[in-house]
Amino acid sequence: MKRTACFMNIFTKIKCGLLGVVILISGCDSFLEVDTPDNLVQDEFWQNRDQVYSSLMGIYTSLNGSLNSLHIWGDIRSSFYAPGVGTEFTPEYAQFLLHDIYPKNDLVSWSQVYKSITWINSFIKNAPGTLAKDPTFEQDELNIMMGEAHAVRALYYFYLVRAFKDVPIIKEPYESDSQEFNTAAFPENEVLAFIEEDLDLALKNTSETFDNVNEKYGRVTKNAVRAVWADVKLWKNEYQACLDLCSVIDATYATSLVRPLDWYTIFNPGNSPESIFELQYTQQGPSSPLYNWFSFFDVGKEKYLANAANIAINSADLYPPASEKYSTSDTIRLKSFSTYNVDAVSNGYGGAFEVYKFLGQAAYQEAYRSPNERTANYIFYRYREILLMKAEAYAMLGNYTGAEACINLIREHCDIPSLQPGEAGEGIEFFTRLLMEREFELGFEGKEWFAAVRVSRRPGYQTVVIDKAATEHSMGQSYQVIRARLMNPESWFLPYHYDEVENNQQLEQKEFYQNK
Amino acid sequence: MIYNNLKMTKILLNIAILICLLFVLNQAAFGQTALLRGVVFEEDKNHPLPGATVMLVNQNNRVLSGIITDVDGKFEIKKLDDAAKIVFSFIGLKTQVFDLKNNAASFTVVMISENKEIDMVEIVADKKPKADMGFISIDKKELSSAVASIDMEEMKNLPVTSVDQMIQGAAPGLQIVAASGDPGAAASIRIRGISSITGINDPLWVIDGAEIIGDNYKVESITDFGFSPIGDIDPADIESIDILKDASATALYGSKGANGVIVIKTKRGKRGKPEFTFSSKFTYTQVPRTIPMMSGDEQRIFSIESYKTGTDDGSFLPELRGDLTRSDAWEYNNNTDWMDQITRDGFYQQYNTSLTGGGERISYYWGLGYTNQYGTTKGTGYDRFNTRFNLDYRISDKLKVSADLSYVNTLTDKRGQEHPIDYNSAGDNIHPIEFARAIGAFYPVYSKNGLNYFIDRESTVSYTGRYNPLAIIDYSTYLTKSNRFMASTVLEYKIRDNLEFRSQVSVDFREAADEYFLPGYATAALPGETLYNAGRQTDGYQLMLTNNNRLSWIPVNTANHRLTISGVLNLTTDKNNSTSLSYSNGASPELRASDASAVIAEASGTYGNRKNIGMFIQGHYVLKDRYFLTVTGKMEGDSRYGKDNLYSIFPAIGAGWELSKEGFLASAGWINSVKPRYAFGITGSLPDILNLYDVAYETGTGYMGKTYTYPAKFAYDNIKEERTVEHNAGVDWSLFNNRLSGQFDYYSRTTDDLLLKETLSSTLGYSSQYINFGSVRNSGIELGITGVILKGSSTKLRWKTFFNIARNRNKLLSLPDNLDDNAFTASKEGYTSKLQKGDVIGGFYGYRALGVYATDDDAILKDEKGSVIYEADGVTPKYMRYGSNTGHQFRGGDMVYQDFNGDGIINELDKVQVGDANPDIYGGWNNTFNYRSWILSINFQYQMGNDVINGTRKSVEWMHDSRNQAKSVTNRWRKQGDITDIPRAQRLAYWNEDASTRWVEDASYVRLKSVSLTYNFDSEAVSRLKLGFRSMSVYFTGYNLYTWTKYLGIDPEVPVTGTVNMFSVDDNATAPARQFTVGLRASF
Repeated sequence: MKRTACFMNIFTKIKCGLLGVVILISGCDSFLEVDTPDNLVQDEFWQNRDQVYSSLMGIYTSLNGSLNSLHIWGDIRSSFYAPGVGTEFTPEYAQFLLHDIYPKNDLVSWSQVYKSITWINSFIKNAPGTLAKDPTFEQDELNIMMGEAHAVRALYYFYLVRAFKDVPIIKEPYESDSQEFNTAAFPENEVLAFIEEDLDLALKNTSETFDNVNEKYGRVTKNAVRAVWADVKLWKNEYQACLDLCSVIDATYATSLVRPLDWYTIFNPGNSPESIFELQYTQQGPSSPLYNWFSFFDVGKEKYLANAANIAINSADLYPPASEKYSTSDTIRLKSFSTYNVDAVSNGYGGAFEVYKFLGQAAYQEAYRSPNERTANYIFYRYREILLMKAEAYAMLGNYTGAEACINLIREHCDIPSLQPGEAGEGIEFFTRLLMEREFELGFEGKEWFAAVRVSRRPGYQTVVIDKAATEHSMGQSYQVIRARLMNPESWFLPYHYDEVENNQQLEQKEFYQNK
Repeated sequence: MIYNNLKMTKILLNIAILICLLFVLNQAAFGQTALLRGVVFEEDKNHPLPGATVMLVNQNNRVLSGIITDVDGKFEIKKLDDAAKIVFSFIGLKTQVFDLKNNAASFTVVMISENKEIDMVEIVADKKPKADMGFISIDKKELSSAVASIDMEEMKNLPVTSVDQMIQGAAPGLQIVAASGDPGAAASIRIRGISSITGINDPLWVIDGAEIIGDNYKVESITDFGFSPIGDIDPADIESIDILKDASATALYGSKGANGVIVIKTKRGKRGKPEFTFSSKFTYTQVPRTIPMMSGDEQRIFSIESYKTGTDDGSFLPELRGDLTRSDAWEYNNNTDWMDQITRDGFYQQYNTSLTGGGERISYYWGLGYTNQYGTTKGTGYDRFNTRFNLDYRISDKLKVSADLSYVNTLTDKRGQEHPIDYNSAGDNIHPIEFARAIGAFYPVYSKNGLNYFIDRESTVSYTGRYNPLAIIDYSTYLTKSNRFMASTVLEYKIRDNLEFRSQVSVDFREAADEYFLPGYATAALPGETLYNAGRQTDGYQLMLTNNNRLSWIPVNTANHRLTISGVLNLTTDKNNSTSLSYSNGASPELRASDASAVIAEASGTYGNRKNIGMFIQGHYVLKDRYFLTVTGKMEGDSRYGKDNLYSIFPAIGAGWELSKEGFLASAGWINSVKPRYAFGITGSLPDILNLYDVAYETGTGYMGKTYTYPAKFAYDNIKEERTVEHNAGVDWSLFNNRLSGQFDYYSRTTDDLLLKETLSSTLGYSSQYINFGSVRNSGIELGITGVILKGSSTKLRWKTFFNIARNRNKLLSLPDNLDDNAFTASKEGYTSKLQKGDVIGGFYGYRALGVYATDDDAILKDEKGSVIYEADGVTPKYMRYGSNTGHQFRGGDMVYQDFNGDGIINELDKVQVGDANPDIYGGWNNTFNYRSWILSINFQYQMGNDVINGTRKSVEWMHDSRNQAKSVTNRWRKQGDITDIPRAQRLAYWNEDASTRWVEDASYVRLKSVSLTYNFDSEAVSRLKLGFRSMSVYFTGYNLYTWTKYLGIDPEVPVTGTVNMFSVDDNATAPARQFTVGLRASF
């Protein structure tokens, strides 16, 4: 009996002890709060204007992260590219140049782009809530920022749709592992409709311009939105709509084309008067990738060179009789010295040039930019592309005179003889020429493959892209091989990455690539 | 020990010889002086005893004053008012206490030898060793969980610098694999297999009751072999090591202890005459075995053969054709053994001193150590200075304080190891050992004028000409410096006889910095290149503060029942801060710092602050001294998981039954103890993610140089802990008068809700997320047997042996149906791992290699009847192809792979499991022989049944490019009809170098780990030296003497690297070397 009592006593004590523990724990919560957290959590974020602004900078920074993908998808399959000798040109890049792309090629992975889209989605969802919390934050400023976010998202989807055709549309940020998303691919027209929706919002909200020169060309303005939209319209074959948008841009830019001898200022220092939107690079922040992509003689790690044989073809076609002085690697310029070295580099396949416009200090000088000047901006849109877009739209509407006028405007500003009326031809002949003109002006700036695809998808123009790609192939492939690979228009678009198909239950590999 | 066992003291008192006391009243002094006087004699009463301690203490035994008797044994001490007792003590003699109440003023005391009691104490101590569980110690006899103790006595002669190397093979169930043979390298430790795929599988380390910085080490460092929590603790300072293996034992540590806990106790002062010990070791390290490489002449032929797929029109590689009239002939006509060039004999010295002693009140241990080690690869070394001071102060019977202090300074030279810099932008780092194998053997070591190292970046023959490993080692700087400071204060207060409070505050501070610099001329780099004057610096610290508070209460303590209840509250804060800077293109190779002229390639930093709170209650109940029950409940919270803190509760229960005390076994005199026991416990862990339940943002310097912010993490709303349920059944037994004893354990630990990173659709903006899925089970047995085979005596041989063996089976029990196995693959060297239901973690997949096609015709496909299969045209025979039906057509000299699905194409579908990195059994066998003054110990260590991907051998046999290859490739296929297992020399022949059984090997081994012979000088001989020595011994140890293995690589003990499901890849690490040590130990 006594023992039982003793035990009872103990249990009472234990109970009291446990109670003490419970009380103790309630005090421990404050112990577990860390004064300097290692990262910002949702509750502490989206509190003021500065945080919204730094998130907006995050969106632009994300463009830098995605740039390699965007450039590869949009440009390197154009006939101007030749493989670099550097260590960075891997077999995966070769697949692009060879038009023989497999789903396991990591360069088709869209993960960087969708990561950026997630950042934007987070911005679009959370930024408006800040307004109530920060009295110094104005509705107007928020609107401008929101417009920019929508514009950049539209730009991303526009790249995706041009590279893959059908892609998933993700509008919400992934903020919890309990969220479900439809990650199935949407048909091209739905994606394009979503892009136009975003562009519409963007055009309503973005600023007309900014005061600071970096922001003026480095943030999305109304003209930048119009430029993207005009491009979208062209992709949708809505030529008049394209021309309408371009005409608004003309109002600002018609008089701002740089003079022939100043052409290099477009690239160095950049932010020229004819610029519309270019990704800024400064001494701080991310470094410009352009130098390392293209520099051969200096660093030796380059990925890309220019296909010398194709340049010769272009110059022979565009400026008869073929003249040595027009034989340059990048643009319809006066002299050969817009390349660092007129001698072609041998990359084991054929002659190749170094692309000088992103590398040099000035035109007609054999001097690379010094290490702290390698901040070449990445130009998304500049006015001469608008002119070439107009030329394309006019031509599709049958107005070849209007088209030639646009091309001549550029030729005049390059000190190159104008086209005689009708010299540019019509139909396939005109468009083959247009793509060459584009390559000389805009080559290596990121969109020439898309332009070729855009033209060739129109009924009757299929051979344009095939002929150009298959002639004088930079990796020595025969005309027949490349032609065979490009016969099916599906091959112009990319496969979904193998891992993405594996990890995304709702995405099915495209039929064309299923057996690859 | 005596202090803790009041019960035992009571018994001792009963049998103790009565204190002899002579009590003389000195009339003259009575009442007039406050002085106490007297004489102290030795036992025989003839000799006075000088140096005996005389102390006055108060009621609570708190010391008030004390003096020492003079040469005549006399003393005189002022009587203090509150003095209640006078205490006489001398080392080795029984302490005597007299009450001062009767106003005695003069004492004649005869001190009695304690000898007989010391015998008793030893016996008792032998019977009641405590298992140190860090926060709590429990009598081993009463223990119900799996705890292994390591016999440190056997280990002290080993030439190792760190504890982890020392305890390899020393306890059952402990799997230790060294990261490399380089000085200062850590080891990876696994206790009972892998139970978490994404989490941490390393055990927790506890030193002297306090958690130390372990796998939570966050300082950004470029150490490629990881941080070893105890790597910088001198084994000489360690008293004992206990390994807590099952969940019941580790329950006190909650999630931190989920992978087992290793509890280290450092040496403390003992009561007795001060003892000064000096020991020193000198070790010679042999250059480890290496893979023989082709000579320059052989490589020249190989290069020409491989250059154009065997067709030689004489037009290429003119340099390599042996034309000595060429001006560059000096460059291409050498036979350099590069491995020989970068290796050397290693040397290693260690010095330790310790001073230990103590009296009634204070005892102390002071250890000092210095280690200096030169590795067998040039440019590797390790230097350590360490000191430890442990002090115990018994203020009174009720209050005891200990203060420990330890400081370690280390310097590691790592130039000979993998450098933290990429040389080809493809993620391949500069690695001198790799280059020593890769660089052309035809190149010379020095340039033509003999003044510089040979470096030729223009050589068109092989890019390796640019990477002279010796130049890289010699010209670079690559140092890791660290300082570690550990301190702890323990306060123990006995509130009542059955209630004790213990509080400990401890700090572990580690600061480390790496300095790396590679001047441009080491690789002939040009300005602008990333290798041009490239450097990297890191710097950081981590500070961990812990506070443990324990209240132990014995509410019931009778002959038949004893209940102990302990409650522990444990607080930990853990701060770290580090930065890392990578730069290149400094203006001059002399400007090694990241100065203004350098291009900063990357600057990163971490800052962390983490707090953890844990509390547990443990009840330990003993019934009739034979039934034992331990119940533990632990609750913990962690600041990492953000505001919605989750408190986890981990219960554990254990029971034991001492059979030998039961009546039915009482008659079996040969049984000393048989104790079956069973324990059950639950542990668990969440992933190591900050603010688990919140959306979190990070910042950086972004667009236009402005700060940018981005969402870095989403909220985990669906995640729960992975929980491991462990059952452990075991038996401890001891037979034949304790001559044969052992431990046997069977365990089964099942981890449910396994946390794994699931790859997400990248459209969600994140690459992966943690999910709870499936379960994995580790089950196994562990057996340790200790036997005194020959009992020995002063003239006869004694042989004690300890054998241990463990086996762990790992099995993935379930995976969800919708899980795509391929999403969880890891790959290395082309081998992939997969997680599949019913499979193990650690299996890897590749092709099954069947040799080399002798002729082109052998690659023609045949049906089961043996008739040739033709292409669609019906004329062309169909050949085996690689990759796809348009891929490479196999021919003579190509590898033969098994075409499992019989489609005539070797592709992904033909990859099968080709190996399993988990060993079947592992353990050790240690023997000690004593004969007179000689002690011989022989230790073996073994591991059986694990497969290894021999990446090192692959890199010297794959014939991928211009790199030099192993001598074995001289057996390659060269013409139609050659029968060999090495394919033709052909560059970039992906089909021949693909992952296959060709480079998968069984890495079973038995190693004679050490043989050590010690001679203890007998005390007479020592005293005759008249140098004041108390004892002296010398020893000779051979370490890593011989390995029985079929492994073709350098060493079958392959470091555990990479991901959890892709470990065991042999990757050009320095092999552990054979070492010979002579050492000396002397105490004064």
